[in-house]
Amino acid sequence: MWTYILRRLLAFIPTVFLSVTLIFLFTRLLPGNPVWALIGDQSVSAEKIDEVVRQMGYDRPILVQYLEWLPRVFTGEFGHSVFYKEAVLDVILDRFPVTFNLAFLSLVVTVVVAVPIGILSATRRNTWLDHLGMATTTIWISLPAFWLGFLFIIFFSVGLRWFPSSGYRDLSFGFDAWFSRLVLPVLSLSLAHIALLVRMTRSSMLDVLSNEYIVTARAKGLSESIVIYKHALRNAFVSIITVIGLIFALNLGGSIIIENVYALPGLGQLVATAALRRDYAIIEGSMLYFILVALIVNLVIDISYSLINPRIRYG
Amino acid sequence: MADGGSEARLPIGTMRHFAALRRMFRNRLFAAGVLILLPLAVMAAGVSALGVHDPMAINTANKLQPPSLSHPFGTDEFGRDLFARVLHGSQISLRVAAAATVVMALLGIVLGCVAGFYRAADAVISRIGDALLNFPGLIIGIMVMAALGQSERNVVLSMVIMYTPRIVRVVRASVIEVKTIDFVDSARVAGAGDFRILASDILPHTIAPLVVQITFGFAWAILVESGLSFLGLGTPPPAPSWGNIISDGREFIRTAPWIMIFPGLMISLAVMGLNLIGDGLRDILDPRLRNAARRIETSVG
Repeated sequence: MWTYILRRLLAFIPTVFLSVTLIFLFTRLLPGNPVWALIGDQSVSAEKIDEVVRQMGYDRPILVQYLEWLPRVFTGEFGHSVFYKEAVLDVILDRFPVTFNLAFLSLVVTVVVAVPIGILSATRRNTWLDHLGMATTTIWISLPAFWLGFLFIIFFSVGLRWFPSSGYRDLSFGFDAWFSRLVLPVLSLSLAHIALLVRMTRSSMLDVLSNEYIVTARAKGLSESIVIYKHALRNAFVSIITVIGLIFALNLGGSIIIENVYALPGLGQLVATAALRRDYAIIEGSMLYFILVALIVNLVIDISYSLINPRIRYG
Repeated sequence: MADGGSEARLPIGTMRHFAALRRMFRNRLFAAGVLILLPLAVMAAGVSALGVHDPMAINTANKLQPPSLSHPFGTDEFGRDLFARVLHGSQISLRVAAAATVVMALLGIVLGCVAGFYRAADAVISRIGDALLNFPGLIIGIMVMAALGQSERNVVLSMVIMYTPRIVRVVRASVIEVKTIDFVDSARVAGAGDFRILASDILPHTIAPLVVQITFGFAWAILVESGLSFLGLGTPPPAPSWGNIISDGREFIRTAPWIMIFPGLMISLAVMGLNLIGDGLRDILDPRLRNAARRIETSVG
């Protein structure tokens, strides 16, 4: 197992390198390059453009640029934002807590709601409850999250006036202020992922329930609840846990859209605004931050998976 | 064959297709999906023949009208008829999504075959594909749109970059699975070259999982188009793509919620229809995949 963890850690390094390199290539090789973003729409002479290009070092060979860029990435020097007049990393760190709150809370809600429903669906396979569950998940998966977000605003904020429709308050403003502003965003972000996790839990539960040791357990005369909750669930959990990392990554991605619906000042809103202004430093920095967080979460999940599942001996 | 009648007179090929089609429609998921999607597709294709209002015609005297008989979906802040806009929107949204689906399918087949067949190429193609898939949500699309600017072509391009790796994975997996079966060896002994083997012996076996993946890809593309448009990074306005209409309605969420309700319904219906068709096709074409929660990969969030 320790060799597995070590190997997983070693495999992590090239993955990070490749992702980071892709970001570099994206920002340098696509035609609308950062120089133009800096100059904006002003009409400038060719000499002026050349000067900016030279200043920023874009006239040097791409490999030289890359070798200079790479160490800066790993020391967190993501550059300077023209619009925020601040170091990119500071802007990002300022906003990440919002995104993290949203993604993490959604993850908790998703798991807490979806896993029991999935188990229920599997143990009552082909009953009306199961059919209802499957039909509902089919619908939920198909709804655009941002539209769902607007529907929630129309019903719960404008109509019922239960929750504020936008904004964010830190926990330091008190639990109510924090919670009431996150309820709707978390709901809109979670629904589709709940549907996905219900389906996954159901199918991995069905997989486990078709095993022979379940038949044996039943034949021994164990009660159905012991068979399901002790024998089956424990094994189903092993595959459910692998999905949690995936759901967190989905939440991070989904937060980009949801933060823009509810005007939450997180990374997602930052990167969308930056894209509209072509603020490359911010886009690049946010991409780096997003991918690093996603990769690290994956790594942690993988390693904890190997700790939980004693059957795995990655020789 | 037994129930002969008028069918018996059709040429054999047509009859076989007929039987296949009938078998597909016996799958309830597939049938439900087609039933949902078909009217949308027909409306999108024939929108100019439907005699709806001009989707761009501005009539400020008529602005922000709730749904009524003359404007079934109401009007927006410029008094434009939303029914017409949503119908034209289905043409734009479905066209963009379909174009992306075709390109990513073709590219996915080529790269998937190469990756499955040649180990050296696999190392490169799969690594890069995995790396692209690691990026959460629409972030790559946002980056591409920011760099290249808003246009239908660039929306297609960014969707192709984001989704092709998934198709490559599916094709590659089935190529690797088939590659080791005897008939490939016998084809090689018979003197067939790589290309011939790939095209005539291996490719047909990748079709089933590929078709399923492409159907989900189409649904995904509709969601992504609307998502990018909502962020202001999709199909350029004032073209009434579904996402653009919702985005326009944002300011009027309190006073005129109908602006965003109807296009959202259309997106949901189209996506649900395609998802159902995909589920149905998976049951029909590849029973082994039943219960497999493949769809987790196609969520946009």
